Formats: sequence, C-alpha cells, structure tokens
Amino acid sequence: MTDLLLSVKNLRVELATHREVVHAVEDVSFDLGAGQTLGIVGESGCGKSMLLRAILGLLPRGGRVTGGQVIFQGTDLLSLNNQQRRDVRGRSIGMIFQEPMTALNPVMHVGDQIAEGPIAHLGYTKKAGRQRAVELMQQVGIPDARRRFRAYPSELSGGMRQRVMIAIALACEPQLLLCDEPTTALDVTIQDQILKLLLHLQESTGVSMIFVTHDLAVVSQMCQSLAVMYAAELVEFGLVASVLPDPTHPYTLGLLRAVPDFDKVKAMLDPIPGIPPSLVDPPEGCRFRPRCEFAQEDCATGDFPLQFTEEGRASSCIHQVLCRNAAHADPVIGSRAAH
Amino acid sequence: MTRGMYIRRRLLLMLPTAFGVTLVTFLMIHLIPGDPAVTMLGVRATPKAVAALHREWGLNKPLYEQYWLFLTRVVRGNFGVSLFYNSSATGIILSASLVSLSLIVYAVVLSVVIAVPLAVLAATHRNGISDQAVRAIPLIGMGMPSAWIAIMLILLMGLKFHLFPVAGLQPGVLGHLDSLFLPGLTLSLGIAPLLVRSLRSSLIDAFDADYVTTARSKGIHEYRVLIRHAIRNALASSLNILGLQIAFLISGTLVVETVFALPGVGALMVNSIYRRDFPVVQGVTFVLALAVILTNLGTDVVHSLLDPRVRFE
Amino acid sequence: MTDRVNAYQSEVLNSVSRRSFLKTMAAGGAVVGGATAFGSLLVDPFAGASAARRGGDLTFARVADPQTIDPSAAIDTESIWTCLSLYECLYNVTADGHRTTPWLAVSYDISQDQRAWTFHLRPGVKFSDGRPLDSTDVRFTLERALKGPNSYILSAVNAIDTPNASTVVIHTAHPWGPLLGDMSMYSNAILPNNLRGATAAQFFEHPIGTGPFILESWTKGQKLQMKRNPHYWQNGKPYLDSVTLLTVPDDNTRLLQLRGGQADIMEGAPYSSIAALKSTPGIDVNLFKSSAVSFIAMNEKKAHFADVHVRRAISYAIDRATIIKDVLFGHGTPAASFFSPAWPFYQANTPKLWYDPAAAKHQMAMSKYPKGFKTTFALASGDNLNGTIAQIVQSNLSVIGIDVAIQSYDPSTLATLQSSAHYDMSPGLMTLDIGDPDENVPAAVAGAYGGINSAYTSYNSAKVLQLTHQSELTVATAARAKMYARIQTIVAQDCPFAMLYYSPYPYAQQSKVHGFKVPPTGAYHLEDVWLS
Repeated sequence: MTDLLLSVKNLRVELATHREVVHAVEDVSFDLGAGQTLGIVGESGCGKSMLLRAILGLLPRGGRVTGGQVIFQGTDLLSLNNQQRRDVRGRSIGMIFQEPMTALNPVMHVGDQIAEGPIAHLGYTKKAGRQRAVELMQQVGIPDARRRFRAYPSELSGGMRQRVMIAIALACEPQLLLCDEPTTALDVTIQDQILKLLLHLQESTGVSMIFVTHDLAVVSQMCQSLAVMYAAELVEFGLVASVLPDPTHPYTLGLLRAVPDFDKVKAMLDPIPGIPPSLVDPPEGCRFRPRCEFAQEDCATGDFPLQFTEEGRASSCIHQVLCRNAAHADPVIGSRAAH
Repeated sequence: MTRGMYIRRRLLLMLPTAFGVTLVTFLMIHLIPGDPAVTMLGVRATPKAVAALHREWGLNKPLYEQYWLFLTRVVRGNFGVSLFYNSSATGIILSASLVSLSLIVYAVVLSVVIAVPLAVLAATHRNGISDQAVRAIPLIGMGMPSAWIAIMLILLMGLKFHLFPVAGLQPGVLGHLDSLFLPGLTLSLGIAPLLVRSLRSSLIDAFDADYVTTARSKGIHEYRVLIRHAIRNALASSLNILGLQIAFLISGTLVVETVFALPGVGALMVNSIYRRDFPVVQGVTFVLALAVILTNLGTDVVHSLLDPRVRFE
Repeated sequence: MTDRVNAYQSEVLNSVSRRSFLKTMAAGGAVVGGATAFGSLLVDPFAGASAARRGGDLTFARVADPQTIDPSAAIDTESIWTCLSLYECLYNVTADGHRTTPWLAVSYDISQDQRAWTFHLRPGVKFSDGRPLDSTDVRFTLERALKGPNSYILSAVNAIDTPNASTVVIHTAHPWGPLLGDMSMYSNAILPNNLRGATAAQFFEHPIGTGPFILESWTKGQKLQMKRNPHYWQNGKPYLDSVTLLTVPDDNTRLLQLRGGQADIMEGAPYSSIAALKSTPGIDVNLFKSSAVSFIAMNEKKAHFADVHVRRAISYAIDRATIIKDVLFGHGTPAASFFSPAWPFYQANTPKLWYDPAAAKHQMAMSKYPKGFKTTFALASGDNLNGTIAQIVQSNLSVIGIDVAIQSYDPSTLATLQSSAHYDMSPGLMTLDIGDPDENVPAAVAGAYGGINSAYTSYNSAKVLQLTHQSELTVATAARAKMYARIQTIVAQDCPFAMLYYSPYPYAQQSKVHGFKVPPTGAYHLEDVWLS
C-alpha cells in the first residue's frame, strides 16, 4: 500500500433548496493513496459531484457539510479557515469540471485564467504567470499556445477548453486532482484524447486523481480503485480489477449490465428498472431494495453500512452471494471475470 | 465583421437617422404658429421691420430651401446663427452640450459608484436584511420626482451642511466638479435603482455560475473572484440597462438643469422652441440625435469589449 | 408696455415668454403700502453716500437672460435693466414714477412754438473709455434709435442739432408733450458717437457707456458680469467693485441660492414664499411699488366681446379679492384704471367695475346674450399664475352663464393667436418704462394708431383716440392730466379689459445689501448699492 494522501471519513453533506433539505452525501468514507486514481461512479443525482465539491469546500449555495472529516496529508480540510482553505485550493488540490463551456470565465483571456493560480500561490509576477500559462498550455497540448493565450473560451473548441481547464487545475502542480465528469460533455474521440492526456500528465507528475464519472469504461481505463455510489451512500468499494469482473452489490451489477460492450455482441442493454429514491426523505432499509432483483425481506429494515469482505473490498449488500452468482452467469461480465 | 468595420458601418447608418430627426423637427417647428421676429422686435414691430428680419434670416424662402441651407451648413459643422442671441448657434449649442455632457458623465460615474457596492452587498447577502433593504429603498427613491430629490439635496447638502453650491455653474474644472455634484447625484439617484436591481440579479447569476466555482477552485482571494470574475460578467449584462438609461438622460436632463440653473441643452432646447430660434432648435435636435445614437453605439462597443462573445452583425 | 403673457412664476417658460412680446417684468404688479422711496435727485442726489462702504461683488439672481445689451434693440425687461447699468439716458424717472428728473442732461429749454427742445448736457460726464460725453453722442444715439424696434417713441422727432459740444436741440414736427418722458426711455440711452468706429456686433462685445458699470463677460444663458466704471460721473459711485447677474429661471432655485448665500439679491421672490422669507434671519424682503397693471384682454373681433354689456358683466363678475388672496397672497390691490398708481396722471377715482354679482347679472341681461355663451381663456402653458387666475375667472363667470374653457399654448403660439385676433380672452400685463404714460396709452387703447389694436382687443373709441393725440400735442402738464383722467374714465366704462390688480416687484435680499431700491419702471440703480 502506498502512502495515504486523502482519507474521507463519515462525510455528510446537505443541500438546502427552497423548501426541502436534500441529504446529498451520507456517511461516506474512503481512502486514497498517493499517485493513485479513484473512480467514483453512480447515476446522476447520487451525490458524487457533491462529494467531490465537499472535499474542496466548493459546495453550491445552500450546500453544507454536516459531519465527518476530509483528512488531506494529515490535515482535516473541513477544520480550516477561509485563508487556509484557499491555500489548499489550486495549490495542493486542483479541480476539473464537467462543462468546459461554462466553467471558464467567458470574458477573460484563457491564458490569464491559467495564470491566476500561479500568481496567487507561487508568488509569480504577472509576466512570469503568463510565461507559466503558455508552458502549461503547451503541456496540455494546445497548439500555438502563445497566440491562444489571448483567446476567449468562446473562441475555443470543447476539447481545447477542457485542456485549458486541465492546465488551470494543474498549474500549481497539486498532489491531488479532482475530476468531475471531465469528458462527459465531449465527443467520443475528444474524450479519448483528454483521458490519454490526463494519464500522461499523471505519469509525468505523479498526481493522484479522483475521477467522478458515470462511465465504467472510463473507470477501467483510468482508475486503480472504484467507489460505487447510490442514493448518497457508497455501496461498493474496491480495486477496479476485482470489482468490475466480480461485483458484490446488485447496483454495481446493474451498472455493468447497462454498459454497451462492442467486443461481445450484446443485443440489448439492460437498464436498471425503476428510479432512485428521494434524498429528501430516504426510505428505511437498503436504498436499492425497490429496484433490486435479489431483494429479500431482511433488506427492508436496518442500516446497510459498507462491510469489508476481503482485502481492500467492501460492499453494503447483505446478499452478496446472490449478486456474485448472477454476475458470473452473465455472458459478458462473466467472460471478463474469466480473463 | 470586425469591430472597426462594424463601428464604421454604424456611424454611416446614423447620419440618415440624425437627419431624419432634424427633418421632422424642422417641419414641426415651422408648421406650428409663432414667429421669431416677434421675439426679437416685440409686439410693436412694424410689418416692414418683421419682413426685413425674415429676409435677413432667410425665413421668406420656401421651406425646402431653408432645410437645404441647414443641411449644407451642418455638413460643414455650422448650425448657422442663433436668431435670439444673434451669435453662432454652433458655439451656443457646443457650450450647452458640454455642460450636459459633463452632467451626464458625472451622473453615470456616480450611479456606478453607488450601484456597484450596493449590488455587491445585496448579492453577497442574498435574502438577508441588507439585501432586502437594498432592494426596497431604491424603489422608494424611484417613486420620487427628480425635482423633489434635487430640492431635498440642495436643502440638506447645500443649505444645511454647505458642502456644495446650491445651484449654478462655477468656473474651472474644480468649480464644475463642485457645482455639478448635486445635479449629477440627483440624476444618478434616478438611474441607480434600476442599475442596482439589474446588477444584483446579474451578480447572483454570476455567483452561481460555474466559472466562479472554477475561480474559487484556484484558491484565489474572494475579492479577486468578485472583481475579476463575478462583477465583470455582471457588468457586461447590466450594461445595456445603463446604456438605455444614458439615452434617456440625454433627453431628460431638463428638470435637473432647471432646478440647478445649469445652462445645458435641455434648457436651451425648450427656450429655443419657445423663442422659435430655428437654427438652435435644429442644431440641438441634431446633436441630441447624434448623442443618443452614439450612446447606443458606445454601449454596443463597450459591451463587446466586456464580453467577447458579442458578435457584430 | 403690454404683455399678454404674465410670465414670471412659470420656471423656464417665462424666461421666454417674457421676452417674446414686448418686455414683461419679473414680478407681478401692484402697489403695496409703504413703497420705498428712491432718493430723488431733485431733492438730494447723493443721500446716504457717507455711510456707504466701497467694494465687494454683488451676485444678483434673475429670472431670465437678457436678450441683448444694445439698448436700442432691447424689448425685454432683463435687457432693459441690464442696459441701464451700462448706459444712461438724458432724463430719468423719479422714485414715484410720476415725473422725470435730469440725468445726463441737467436742464432743458423749450422754444416759444414748443417744437424745439434744447438740452444742456451735464458737465464732466465721461464714457467708460475716459472720453467725455458730448452732443454728437446724443445725436448719434437718437438717430440710431430711430431705426430700432423702439423708434415709435421718437415718432415726433424731426431733426437733432448740436450747436455746441454741451447742447443738443431736438426739433419735433409739432408740439410734443411726452418728449421729456421719451428721453428717459431705455432705447434712448446714450452710446458713443458712431460706436467709436466699430460695427454694432464688435461694439456690443465690449460696449462703452456712461453707466456705473462696464460689461466684463457674458456667458449666454448663464451669467453676465460687470465691473466698476472708473470714470463714472457720480462722485464716489458705484460702491460695488463688480456685479454678477445670474440667470436662474426656477423660482425655488433662486430662493435656495439666496438662502444658501450664493446670491445676494433675488428677483421675483414667489408671493407664496414672502411670509416665510420675511421671518428668515439675514434676509430682507422688499415689495417695491411697480408700474405693473394686470388685466384680462377681451377680443372685440369676437361677437360676444363686441358687446360692451358682456365686457362690463365680466368685469363685475370677477372676484378680485379672491384673486389677490390666492395668486398674490394678498400682496396686491384691485385695479380700476388701466393706469397704475405709479404712472404719471393716474386717476384714483376712475369708475370701479368691481365684484358685484347683481350688477354683472344686470349687464348680462342687457346684453345680446342674456343666457350666456361658451368661450375660451387662452394662456401660456406653464404660466401657473395666470392658470390660477383663469380657474377663478372660470368659476366667477359660470355664475353669469358664461362657460369658459381654459386653453394653454406655448408662448410663441399664444403670441401669434393674440396678434392675429384668434382668441377670446387672455391675460395681459403692462409696465411703464418712462416718465410719461404715452409709452403705453396709444398701444393699449388707441386702436390702429398704437400699432397693436389696443393691446389686441381691437377696442376702438374715437374719443379716446382723439384725447390720445391731444395729450401728445399738449406740453402743459395740468392740461394733459385732465385729458388722461378722461381717457381712464372712458376706458373703464368701455371696459376693453377686465382690470385685475396692481402688483409690486417682489425682491428678497441678504441683509448685508444696502441701497437696493427699485423704482416703478423696474430699472434699479445698482450704483447706489453697497455691501456691509
């Protein structure tokens, strides 16, 4: 096991809207080693983005952390004051957002947006910051970087914008990069370029990453470990290599079944029936129970915390055996497990 | 289209508009009764004297000829001779325009100075007491006539505390700044409420925008997030409101100019209409039309400078 | 003279309206008791001079900008009053307005045939450029004025002789009673001979006169600055170093400038503010006796008003007490004669066709319209003072069956409607600028002879016309007094105007201002003003 970089413990996040309070993240814990990449998958609205934003304290208006710790390099980020938190943001932890169109300031040269971090954290002069921005732009593969420095986001393609975003996040050589669905908004071919760029940058800088996505294919390409999130809770955790071929939670199995696989011809995707429960007033028992094909009576009551099963793996399902058997019987997932 | 080409084209397009406005004014003022010769000569003027004055002024010529004369003069930057003051209309209009221009610039600067901090206060304390206050108080201000505000300001800041001159225009740059403060403030109190409301909602939009989250994720100071990211975007979207307000001010400074005894275009226009001082009326109309058009153009250009997404078509 | 638009209270509008038709005045008009006596030169020309302090700048907030500083072209009050600080006349009007007093001339002789007036110029008078006044200057001035818009005042003048440098002889076509008064007319204020060789345009950039002050600068629409004339002939005067005339059309703003110390004197203090101003420490209010006469003109070209019974009925129906209370806040007196008490030859016992509903109804019954009729009252838009009057008149006339619609026009349009006789009723105002009623009488009541059809009423009385001529051709004062008394009586009975009131000139000033007196003509003598 590598050195521990980040440890999230029993994190809880609430999001207050006009009339109701959404429990967006409930009692989530996980660890991340230095140089490692963790993938967090789950459906839209499961709380994975809130989890990521809570780490940096960038929750949207109405959001607040109600419990837990985020221990980064031995310090609980949640206990920091504003100034200390700003020192971490951008300097030690960078972040990439889903929509490069809206995540960049439309009225500011992209180069200046990149240079802001180094100027704020590394004591760069304006000129040095610009120099650094041009270097970064070249590093993230933006051709003609010197000229593009003065471009506005609206003058760049989606892929170029995301490269700018990456340059911003990596500008101060942080130890951790938080990626919130960085490729979701991009064309498939561009997605691949961006993922390869991130892998390449990780190799050269050794940065750790948390990769929030709903795409298991991306996870298998990018990540060493995987956390599956359902209805504000973690339901499965483990190494990608062990979880994907051998899921121990029915929701993970459902996600795997919904993945198109072009190697093995599969006539139809199997979407998970039903919809996730409301997070305003979540039901008792296992939250996946109403949609679960293996649900038993004992799933209806009690708490379902992550249970550690074997080395580095955990699942909240109390009927894991049923799930594993079903996975093994599946021609696609089973064949993967056989590899 | 580049910005330069766009500006050139707009400038060319504005000439027909400005002349159109002067043509309408020209016809209107000549078609209503009233004779400038009576203004000059008094009621006892003999018909002979009136006719002589008409000849001297060219008022005996057909209307189309008079308008043509006006056009050919304007092209050379000459508005003719004021019938009332018997001196260059261009000079009279120019000096009045300078007063009004300074007044409007002052008002705009003051309204921005007033509106930006209030909007920031309201937007950063959304739905709090300061937000409610900032949203409610200007509404009261908007309901008050500017003449009343002007007199209240004079009573308070001119008479009670002797901070500023009560009225009139003091000579020199400092004198102008001093004596235009209260009128500028009066006008700005008329614009600021709309500007505050518009800026506040743009700022709230900006604060919720992804790019502000991005900016915060960089760990830069909140102050810089506000200034460089939020306000600049909010200003870009509130600029059109400001532009409309300025255009409105250009034609609406009369009341303030009257109360503060400022020799601006508003007073000049009204007086000249009453005196049937045709060259001045036409000249002022032309200048006002140009000013409104230039303000719109300026708003567009500044908007494009603030927001690179604006395209010229 | 006649002014159909009593402007004044109407902010911006009035600065125009007042200029638009002959001159008007800054104040309404009416004699309030205790009119302040302006030191008559006949009695003691330099009274109070010993106490006066020399120096200082006087800031004077006025209602409107002067139109011109060429006295021969002046027709509006601001121009006239400004001109009379820069240039002076041979004779001036006395403090009571009833006579003339020597000014640049010290005396005159009249020939046996009463057709040659010999004026002896005051010795030692110099123009502001240091050159002495002589008879050629006077001749040049009068000849120039004969070509200006006020030339009617010199209509009897045939020729002007200058037998020597200090003597001017004016020959008239026939005996001409008003001549001395005519010499006090602002348009006859003395300019240097041949304008010192300059064109009029050049000359009036930096004019030269014998007045107490010299023009320093004029920012049109804003202010006019004058400085002391070092060559002024009245010993020790002017006291002030300089005078700044501000143009401040808004009543409230002038008031605030006065209270804020930005102005030393304000013209046209609103009647509504007089009580409050009087109790303000450091501020004095003066209601100077004026020559102003307010009336309602009735257009006899319209059939209704051609009937003298209708005109009398209207005069009887109007409640002057209410008008004076509501419009002038009590600062006026009801008018019967179209002469003000401040005019020469005012006749106090002129018949009074005053508020008497029974008499009004009786006159209506005798008229061709016993059941009444519909008519209109035309006034200038923004003219608040006459707007209030119009409402009171509307309500008064409804009692005798006359249904009045009030119509507002912009001042220039209104002037056109009046001069072309396209109106029914309209407010009017007269002031007198000279020491003789002949400036006004022909225009006001002598029909076509006065040039404006009896102040646009088209009133025509053969007897009045004949008396007007006769009074002009008569030099003897006592004889003229009888003729003017007769004219006042006839006009009151014929009632071409519904006479309203006489109002004062309301001025307010800082207490530190001394010696500011306004004669009935309105032309104040700023050389007497000093600051403590």
